[in-house]
Parts: sequence; structure tokens; C-alpha cells
Amino acid sequence: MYLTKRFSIRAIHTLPSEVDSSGQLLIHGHDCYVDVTLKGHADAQTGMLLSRDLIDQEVLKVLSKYDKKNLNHLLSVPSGESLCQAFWDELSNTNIKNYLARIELIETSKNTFIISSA
Amino acid sequence: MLQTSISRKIYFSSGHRYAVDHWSEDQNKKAFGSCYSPHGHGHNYILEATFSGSVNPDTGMILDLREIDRILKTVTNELDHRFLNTDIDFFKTSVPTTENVASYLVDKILKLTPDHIRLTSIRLYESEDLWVDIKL
Repeated sequence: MYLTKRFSIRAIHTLPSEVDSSGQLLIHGHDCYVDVTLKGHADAQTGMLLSRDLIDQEVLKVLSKYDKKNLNHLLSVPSGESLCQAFWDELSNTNIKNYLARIELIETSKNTFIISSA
Repeated sequence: MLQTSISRKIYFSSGHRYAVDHWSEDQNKKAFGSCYSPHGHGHNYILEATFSGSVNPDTGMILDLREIDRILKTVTNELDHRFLNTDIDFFKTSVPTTENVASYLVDKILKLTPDHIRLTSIRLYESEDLWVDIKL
């Protein structure tokens, strides 16, 4: 069984390939969804794979470091792939690490980045 | 070998309460946090079921959409506009979390699925930002 909870972040970044004709880096932003998928079984008593509050607490602790920030100050090349990897690495050190199965970063309606354990 | 699947959605609305009746209020608050309320709350659920099977050469379909709708309506009508904890026997002893509602629906759909097709997965949305997948 998989439980997915959707979060969102808004941040700015630029990439080495994103330059205008004068060579100026094009700084821009996205309003991204971050879908965090956890794998496990529903607890026999609570009926929950994991407490919603614990998921929120652990995921928001990580995402708050990136929300409303300039991602270039946090990652050397803040591509969607790198951001997804950073979320994965950080969530792998939280109390939901044993359940973590997949992270989907929906950067725009056309761009989605996925990292998963399978 | 290629596999063809069809996914179909259906909507239903139910009320529920996250609580274990024989637990104290403190225990329930600790386990369910913000989901715990003595009154309960409701959701507009979306059930998406995926079936796979051979495409009938005459109809061009795995299963007539009307038959899929009949299956999905049968299982969700029972829950639609109900308070799950009290109106559905199964949830008198099992907390109607999205996980448990999804498992309940899988069992019900499987009983109605014709032998020549296979239920391969379901996704149950509790809201736009929380859903459960069960892959069979």
C-alpha cells in the first residue's frame, strides 16, 4: 500500500543554460508540487500507514529550507533533478525514512521529476 | 507482451471520524493529531480503479464501460452520503482511514470483477493532496 501526500514550495532559481542574449542568467521561479509517497501497511489499530501529523512535521521540516528561497544559494546546480535528489537525501534522515518510496516534483504542468526506490 | 488497461473514476462523499472508541481522548489525540475530532469530518472521495485484460476483438474493449461503472457504483453507493463509522458495519471495528477505505473497496470490487479481467490497482483520493494506492 502506498500513501501519497502533496506539498508545495515556491522558490526561485536559474540554471547555467538559462541565459539571455547578453549572457545574463535568467532568474525565475516556480510554484511546485512535491508529492511524497510512503510505502507500508495500515496499522491494525489506527488504520493509518503513518500519522498525518508526523508526515507533515518531517516533510515540512525539509521543504521549509527550500520554500521561498533562492535555490542557487542552496544547491550548486538547482535543477529539478538535483532538487528531487536533495529532498530524497534529506527525507532519508528523518523519522519517515523507512517508508519513503517516491518523490515527485511537479515543477510546471509540463515538467515532472521523479525519484523512487524501485 | 503488451498489457492493456482501463482506468475509470467515480466520485462519492462520506463522513468519518478518526478515533479508536476504547482509547482515551489523549490517546486519540496523540495518534490522530489534527485528524481527531469528536464530531468527525467529510471528504469528496475519488476512486480510480484500473483493470487489465484482453481486448475483445468484436467490441474493441476490455470490458464495457457501463459494466465497469456498474461495479464502481455498486461499491461506492454503499458509502456515498454516509457516516462511515456508524453506517457501515465494517467500520464499526476498523477506523475508516483512507488506507482502510481503500482496502475495503478493493475487496468489494474484486468480488464483482468478472473472471476474464483483472483489477490491477486502485487509487483513492481523500482530497487533492492525499491519496492511497493499492497495487494488486
